[in-house]
Amino acid sequence: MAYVIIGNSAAAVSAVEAIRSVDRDTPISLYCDEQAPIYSRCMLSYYLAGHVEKDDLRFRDDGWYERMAVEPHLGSAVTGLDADRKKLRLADGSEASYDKLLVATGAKARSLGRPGEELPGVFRLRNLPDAEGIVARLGEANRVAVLGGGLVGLKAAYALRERGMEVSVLVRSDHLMSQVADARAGDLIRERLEEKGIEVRTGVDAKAIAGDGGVKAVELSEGGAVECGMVVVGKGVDSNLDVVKESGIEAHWGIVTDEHMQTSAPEVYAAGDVAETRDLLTGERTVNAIWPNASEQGRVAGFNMAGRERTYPGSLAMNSVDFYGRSLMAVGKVRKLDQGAEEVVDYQPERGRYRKLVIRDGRLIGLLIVGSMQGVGTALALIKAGVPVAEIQEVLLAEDFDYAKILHLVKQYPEAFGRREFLLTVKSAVG
Amino acid sequence: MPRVICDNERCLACKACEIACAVQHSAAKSLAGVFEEPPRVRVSRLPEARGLPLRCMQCEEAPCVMACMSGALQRDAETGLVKHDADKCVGCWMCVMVCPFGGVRPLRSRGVVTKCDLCEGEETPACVAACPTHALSVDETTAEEV
Repeated sequence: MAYVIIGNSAAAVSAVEAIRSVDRDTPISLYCDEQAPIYSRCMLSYYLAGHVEKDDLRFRDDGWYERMAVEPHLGSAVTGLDADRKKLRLADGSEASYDKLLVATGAKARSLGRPGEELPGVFRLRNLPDAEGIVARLGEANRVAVLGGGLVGLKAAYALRERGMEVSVLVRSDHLMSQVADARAGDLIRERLEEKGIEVRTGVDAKAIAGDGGVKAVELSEGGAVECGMVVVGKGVDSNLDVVKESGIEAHWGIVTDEHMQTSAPEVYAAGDVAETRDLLTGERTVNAIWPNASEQGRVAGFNMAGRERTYPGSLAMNSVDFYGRSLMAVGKVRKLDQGAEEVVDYQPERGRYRKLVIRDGRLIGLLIVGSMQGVGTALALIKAGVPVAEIQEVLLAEDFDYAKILHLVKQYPEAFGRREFLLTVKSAVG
Repeated sequence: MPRVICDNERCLACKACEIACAVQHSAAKSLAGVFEEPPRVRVSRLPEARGLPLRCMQCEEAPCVMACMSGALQRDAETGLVKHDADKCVGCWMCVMVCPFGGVRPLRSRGVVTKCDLCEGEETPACVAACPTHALSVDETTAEEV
């Protein structure tokens, strides 16, 4: 009996820790195409900004593999799998066997699909080598164009501004963070970035990257160009499906998983940015490629692989960013208003405060805040559990909202705070 | 998993727990500590002179640990407690976003969060010792026993 994990990030680590919490003995092998020991991709922008050192990117220490009795094969890419024979094909032509397999190969940065993308000085910000490449080139360019106004693009823009560069963010949509937030929230973030000297241009499309042996400018479809010596492309990510491509394992946006995080092949599980799951709110299959989902999926997969049944309730879109002390959090469905849904809003732009609840059928399905983070976690628990909130709309919107303010609801819906643990809290909190 | 629990019928929102927590975690462990060290418990005031101290519940399935992308929040293998390493924290606030109880507190001025460590090394957590109405106590019930 042997477990094999492909991947070395949130889902993989979480799965290993789950397995080891119930099974100390069965061998675990871990394969990853990258050489680096465990590091956090989400921390790369902090490294880029010069706020943390490379070593600080490690979210588990050097002794982790040994403590977890994991045999790491770093720099060893898995190129394919034969689910019938339970064999993996490795880049060097050899094979490895598994009894239970977790595919946690993550996602890769989408390319821009425009001429000039291969020029030196054009970067993405997905892997450690990407970040190292940018850092190595810092002295050679004063101006950078960031293509994309999403999380990665803005974090890169912030980081490079911290390094003293002149930064222009070029965004196709009419507001920032259009994939996770609405225009009001996006504009509040924009205001703060502009105050700190980051140029933001919305509604513009990069036609090509011009240069000769290096980046000179980004040419815009609308005419004109933005001169720069560096380009960072932040256009989202796509699941790394290469491993399962010819395996017959079902995959669409990501590898299709069931409520046990198992794929269409027996004993093959998937978790993290490569896994397609049911969205908790829409019921549709999607890849909610964010860290907390990856960790939870990895944990569920790990327990099931180890023979302890756990079910995954579904994934949820959620994000938290902070630029220069202004926070944005987006949970659930907050971008476009669905039919039958209504918004309850407290919008005070002069105070940098915004709080929007999205309610459908008397249940909270979205929460978007800029400014105070108070009570967001409690609201998130209400979203996850689908607790009726018609009677507490005003409480939820208030500046002093927190867990204590809804103790009566907690008491009424103990299951709302979900896991067994929360039942204990309820008993003690409500007494 | 040990955790600080509260019988909220007894809580009068006096905030003695907040002060005791700040003092305990301050460098000098003196009352001046309340000016230097933000408490890890926050009393939420409720009507009729009631309240509830919001604090870390040391969840078994801790959402904060799963959300932490820096490794600052991890479960201690020996004690089972959810531990926070401020040196690793970068203030992304993901843990704040997912904690149902408001038990992880953002400290904007320092760019990190802070949370209950059960006053590790002390016999009784400072908040429990300081609570004049005995609303706070340490509970060691496991989830299976609930």
